[in-house]
Amino acid sequence: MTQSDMKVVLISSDDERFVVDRKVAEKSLMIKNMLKHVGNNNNDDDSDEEEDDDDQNSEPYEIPISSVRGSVMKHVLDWCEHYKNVDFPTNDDGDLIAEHPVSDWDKEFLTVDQEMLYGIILAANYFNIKPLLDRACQQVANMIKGKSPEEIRKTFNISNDFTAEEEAAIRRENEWAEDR
Amino acid sequence: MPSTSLFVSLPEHVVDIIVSFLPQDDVLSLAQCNSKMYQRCIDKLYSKIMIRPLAKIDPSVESEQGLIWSVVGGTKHNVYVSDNTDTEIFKRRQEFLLDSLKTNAALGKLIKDVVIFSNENTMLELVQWIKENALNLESFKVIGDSQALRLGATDFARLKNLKKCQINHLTDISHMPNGITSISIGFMESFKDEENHMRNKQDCIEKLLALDEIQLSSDEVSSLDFLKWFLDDIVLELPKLRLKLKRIKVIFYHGFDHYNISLQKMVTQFLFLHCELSCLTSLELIMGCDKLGCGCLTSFVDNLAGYEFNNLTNLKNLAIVEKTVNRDHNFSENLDVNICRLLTNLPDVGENLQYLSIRHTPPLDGVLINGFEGNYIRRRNLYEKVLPTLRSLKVLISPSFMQTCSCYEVLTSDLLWNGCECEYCLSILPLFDEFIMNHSYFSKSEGVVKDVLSITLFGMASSIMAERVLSIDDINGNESEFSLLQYPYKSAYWDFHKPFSVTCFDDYNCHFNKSVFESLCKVAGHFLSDYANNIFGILPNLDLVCFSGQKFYKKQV
Repeated sequence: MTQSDMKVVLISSDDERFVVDRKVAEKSLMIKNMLKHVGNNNNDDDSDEEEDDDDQNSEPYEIPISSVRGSVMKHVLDWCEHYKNVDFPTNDDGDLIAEHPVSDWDKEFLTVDQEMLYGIILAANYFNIKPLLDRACQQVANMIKGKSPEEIRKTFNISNDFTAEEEAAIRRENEWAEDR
Repeated sequence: MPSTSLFVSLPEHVVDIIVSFLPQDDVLSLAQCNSKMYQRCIDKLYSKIMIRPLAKIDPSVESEQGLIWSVVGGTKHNVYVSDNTDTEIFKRRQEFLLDSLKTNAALGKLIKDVVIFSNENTMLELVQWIKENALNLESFKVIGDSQALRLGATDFARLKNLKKCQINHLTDISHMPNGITSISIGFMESFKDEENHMRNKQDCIEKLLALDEIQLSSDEVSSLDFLKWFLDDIVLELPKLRLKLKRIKVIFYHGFDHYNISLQKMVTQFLFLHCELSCLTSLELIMGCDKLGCGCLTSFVDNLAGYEFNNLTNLKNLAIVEKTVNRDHNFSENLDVNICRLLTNLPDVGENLQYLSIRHTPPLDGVLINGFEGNYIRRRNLYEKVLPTLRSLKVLISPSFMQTCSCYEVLTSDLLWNGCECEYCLSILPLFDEFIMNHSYFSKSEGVVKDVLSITLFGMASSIMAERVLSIDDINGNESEFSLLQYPYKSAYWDFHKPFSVTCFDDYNCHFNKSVFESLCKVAGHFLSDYANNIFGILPNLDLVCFSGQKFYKKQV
């Protein structure tokens, strides 16, 4: 069985099972690292017996993910499936581009309710899928843009723990940065 | 409606990512929401500070950009704001920042990176406060030749966390803290205390060996000073010294009457004998030859690309800036031939090169000697042959592209009278036809007043368009071409008259001002997008093309 044929089963916190190609699951760096020593039969002489058994039986590799529920996991895996053939740039030599626009597909994909969006963010953070984390965070940022502090509080249900004096002091302190 | 905790309880580093996608104003609004958001936003707001006279561009022009740098600048979102008001706002903003820093000294500790585009209105007291109190400063850069703003020996002693800095005196090298990995040679002062410096030679060698990056100055005399010291003093002490730099900027220019032949020799000696070129991942070259028929550029690029010293086997990023005093197609074509020769001969260029920037310096009024259509076609054919070999290229930049095109009348006339037929261009282009029919300008090179032509209009306009990212003045002020995509856009607008001495005909009631400039940028964008789409078609991995300050992205997956 080759690496590309290998299936991985991800089990969500509410016991939903998702069978996906290894390539799809490996968009997550966390899972990629986990699967590093699983797969090619002749690669790892020092791999343990359990892994060898997995290969020989061709059984999908099961990974329980206790912190992500099924509905969110489905979304995240849909994203990984869509981008399975795309290599995202790594930041190993300093990124010379400050801005990476979000594609139309991503914009549509991330048009979900806030609860789901936070779920995707936390899952992308847990799975270590940097491009998805960035795009989902950009979606949240888009919900903030152009709003007053009061409107932001309302949109995200944030309680104001500042006194009126403190608020005025913050405005004064950062007046230099007002760009209107 | 989600519970309060959902947004506020996101991990801090996730909130930091969200904040990084917000423009400056929105970061301020979020900071005022509650105490947790305040802390995350303030960290971001004060971490990278850019002081420059021009504000960030209107977010509607550059909508995707988040808070890359917090800009302390003027305000030009409203194009009707006068230059005087704009300057006043720039000054007041600096005063407000200084007041805040003095009132809450903890804010100063948040400052890590500072870039100053120096100007007569830059506030010395603010810069001095930052140098004295921002003790976590990691990089400090002054673009331009203001001596008063630079870091000095006492600053180096205080700023222990510095990683990147400018060197404006050779003694700075022995004074700079040990953690420095990147130096750029600024406008050098004379050897005032050479003797003191000579005593620290061994220390200098150790500090040079720890560097990842050296950017030589765009200023020839400063580069010469540094290289003379390096080759005469340091190499004399350690003849086999080879620096393992990852990023280098050098100037290789053959000037009129060979006045700078010494610098040329020193640059080649520095590069080929004392730098481990196989370690280089980024190379920035300011180059040109102002003697027709000379082969110096060819020898230089052949040596760079050659295998003799296992050269440039890992080069990922290449930026080339043309240096010439001529206004003649032949000199620029000679440079292009040598750029293409370098690109063709670089080892594994198809696999390695990901970022390419080429900046020419065409005349502002578009009047280029030998600017014939056939010559344009030859230059175009040259790049059409070479670009497809750069299979891994992800970013292609030409800050001067539109200005170069403006030197060939067939292109600008086509754009103006026979170009894009979209509804917008059809309605706007006749305005510019009216403009050139009713304006003249003073040609400094010829000393006469001439009618504005299509080449003049688009040449001048495109030089302002290019200023929105980095202008040639910024590059000459020792900014790196690799910073071009890392800075927020500047709100550079042309009022169709200043600073190019354009005047209206006596009987013409002129309505052209800065408010029309965005329309010109838009029609120029339609012209440029054809070129960009063509290039996306031949380079499958290309993600971004930036021509004259206009960015074009490949349609994402």
